[in-house]
Amino acid sequence: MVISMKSYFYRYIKSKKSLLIAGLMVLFPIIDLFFLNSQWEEKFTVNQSLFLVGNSEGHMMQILFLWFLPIYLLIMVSEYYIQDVASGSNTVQIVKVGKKKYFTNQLLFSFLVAFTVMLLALLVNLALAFILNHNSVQDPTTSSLGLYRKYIPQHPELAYGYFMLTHQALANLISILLASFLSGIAAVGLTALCFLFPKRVYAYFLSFALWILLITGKHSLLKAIQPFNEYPWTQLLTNVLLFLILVALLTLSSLIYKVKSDEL
Amino acid sequence: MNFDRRRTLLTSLLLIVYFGLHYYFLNSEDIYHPIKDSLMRITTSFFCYYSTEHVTFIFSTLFLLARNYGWRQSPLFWLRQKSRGAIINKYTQNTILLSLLVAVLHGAVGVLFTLFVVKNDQLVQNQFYTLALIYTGVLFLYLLIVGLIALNLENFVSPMQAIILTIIIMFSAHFLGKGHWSPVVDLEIFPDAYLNHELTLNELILRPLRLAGISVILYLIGSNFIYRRDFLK
Repeated sequence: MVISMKSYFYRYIKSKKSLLIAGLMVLFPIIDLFFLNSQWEEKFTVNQSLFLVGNSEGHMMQILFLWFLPIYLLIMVSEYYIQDVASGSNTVQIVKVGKKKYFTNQLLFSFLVAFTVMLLALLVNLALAFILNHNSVQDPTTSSLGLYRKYIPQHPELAYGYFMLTHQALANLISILLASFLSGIAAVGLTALCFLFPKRVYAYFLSFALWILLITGKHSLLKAIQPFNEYPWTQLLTNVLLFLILVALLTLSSLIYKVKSDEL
Repeated sequence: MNFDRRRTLLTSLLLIVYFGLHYYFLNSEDIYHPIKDSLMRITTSFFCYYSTEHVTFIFSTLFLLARNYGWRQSPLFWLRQKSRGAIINKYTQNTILLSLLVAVLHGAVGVLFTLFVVKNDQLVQNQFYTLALIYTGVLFLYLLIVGLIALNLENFVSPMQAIILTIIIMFSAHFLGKGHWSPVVDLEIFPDAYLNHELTLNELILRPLRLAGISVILYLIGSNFIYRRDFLK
């Protein structure tokens, strides 16, 4: 297991395309911070100027990063199986390590890479925010604390929003970890989709359409990873669970289909 | 590179399912609890089914991916053509057909679903059908421009890279449109008609003409660029 993971690691390091996408993913939050500081007259506090909070006008970088996330993940790591099928090296690797191990390793590696790159991007953004905005005071959410205190006795499901506003650093850390974890899960789902449709034209079209449906409307996944939102925690939990169940179904079905089916 | 009938059918089915689900997810509150302002909320709110953000970021990306999927690029196709000029004509013809297909499906799903939410009288009173028809026409021209840009870029880079470059171009065009004019500004039919009351007859004639002019220019550029294309690569 360790040896084959090592080969994936070398493959990732040597692939210029993957490294380019990883660089882009680190770059977007940094650009977002500079936009934020230039758009508003007064700088925001560190906790309010992070990428996932989304205080910048127009949300350009958030759209570029989060709406097109499946395309980045596919190019970066999830389409390795498509490359293997195109070059024919999947048969060689299956003969060497076995079917079950080959496919589970792919899934595991895509999770690891997506989780690490997302975490790195968001932590770099956090560190830069600490350096650039460390002595700023503007906080747009302080005015809503009174409203929360007024409405929480009637609507106890809003308590999570109040908790996030009173413990801002903790809320940011939670959302950063959650976003990294969910993007890792998304990469697993995309890899499973690539197992079922090992052709670029199918995989990109389907994954983009699926992702857009997952992030629109009431059950949007992106609501869960934005800190300081006003949605009740029950809805956020439902959205995350729906996404996890969908990915689990997709992954299990494609894994069982691929491992059990006879390729000859 | 010809249209494959089975694949085109599958693409249209996928697009219909996609547009329907997208409409449902965006307007599920209005579908279950329709109010007096439902039509306004469906057509003019931020990130609605007809908003420029969705068209630039999502529908044009989907159109490009569908274009990649619906066409089969076989080497025999190049051999059978008389000249490179004939190739670009065939290309443009197929782009027109596919963008018409996507625009008509988008419009049809939008009108059908809106009929379930809002009563017919209110739709007729607000001239929704006319505006939806105009919107479909303008969307067709916009998608044609997107397709022609991707087609011109494919002369120099691979199809997947062309898609990413086109997305970047459309993205920057959208943010250019906030201060200046860009093709996507012409898609704001519903806000201009309902909120700003700026949709005069002059505008209605000018908008399609502008977009058609840009697509003609892109076609002319493409018919020059096709001579530099390396088919052996």
